[in-house]
Amino acid sequence: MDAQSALKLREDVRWVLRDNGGFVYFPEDGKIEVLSSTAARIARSLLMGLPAETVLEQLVSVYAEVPRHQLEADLQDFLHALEMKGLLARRPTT
Amino acid sequence: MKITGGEPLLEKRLVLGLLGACRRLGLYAGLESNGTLLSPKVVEQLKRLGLKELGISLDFPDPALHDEFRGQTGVFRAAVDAVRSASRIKLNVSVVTSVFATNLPYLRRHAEFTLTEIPAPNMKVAGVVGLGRAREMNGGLLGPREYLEMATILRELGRLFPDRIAVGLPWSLVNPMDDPGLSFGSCHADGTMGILPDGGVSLCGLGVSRPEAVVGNVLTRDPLAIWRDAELFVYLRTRWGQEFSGVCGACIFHRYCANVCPAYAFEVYGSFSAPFPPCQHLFEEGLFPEYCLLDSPGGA
Repeated sequence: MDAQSALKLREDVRWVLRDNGGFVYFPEDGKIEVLSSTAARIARSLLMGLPAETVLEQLVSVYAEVPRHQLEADLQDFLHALEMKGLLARRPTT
Repeated sequence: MKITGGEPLLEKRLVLGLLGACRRLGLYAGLESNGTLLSPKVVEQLKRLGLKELGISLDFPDPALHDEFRGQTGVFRAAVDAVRSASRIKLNVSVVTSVFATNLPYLRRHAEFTLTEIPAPNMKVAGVVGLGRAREMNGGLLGPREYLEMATILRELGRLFPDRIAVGLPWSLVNPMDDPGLSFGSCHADGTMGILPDGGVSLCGLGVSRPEAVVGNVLTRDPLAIWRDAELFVYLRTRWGQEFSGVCGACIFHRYCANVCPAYAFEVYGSFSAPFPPCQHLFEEGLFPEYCLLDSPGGA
């Protein structure tokens, strides 16, 4: 896990996050992107300012049956997808 | 093409002619009926003529209540029998329920009856809109709190009967993200041309109650020309949905449910881009879901 950057979710969109999922509203075109329950859980943690390492630990505790390396890969894929949609910025911390 | 009424099968020859035309032209044909004239033989005839979708109106889960509301004995029995006849020959059939103040308390029981006892494959549910005769209906339009109650019940029903209930409601109250068990219909106002009993053309049946919304007549002018040239249809095709006033203009779901029923917006506020009246009423009473609002709505 990249410890050299802080993760910052875009704040000028509307994040609607619930226990069973959620969605993001984009004000520029009125579109909505649906989030799964896991994606919503991760987004909630990122909005609280938690680092990726802590988010990973949360996932490990929730999905105990899934190998850690798999969860880490899935988390990185999701963060990358958020970046591609302009919803996540990585800011250097060192 | 959706054939509706009143009761369209009172003009059975016309309905059969329209279905024949749809089949020749390759158009999807649907029919809504109260079921009273839908004997098993007629249902089979409709299917043979290419009917793709049949909606049967049923308002209550109880024969006495339904018949009393419809003002005719035996309507309940006829509706149930028609649904069963259509199901038997695998014609796509739904029970269509408009919810108003009088039948709202029966909605849970009605869904259970419809989906497990008749059983209909699907049902379509929407709050009745105050257009035409519905404005004076004896069942009473839903107030804001009743609208919320209807949404709450439908959310429960969506969990109980996944993928069997289609709703025509604003996304602020039920939506595919929060209620994946429900299906969501929309009115497609930008692709709809309503033809009235006298040949008048309007958006759906709006012209019945608002003659100023009648933009031509198919008996005197080519329907395609009306569709192409009438200001109403040009507006609906090109500009409707871009901007709404009132609460719909400030709602995060405006792109998806638009203002739900522009005809109802026109009826109440005189504009097709006015808000959906139940949503506006919810907002005015402080009951509109706050998470849906982007900023302070302007007036309706």
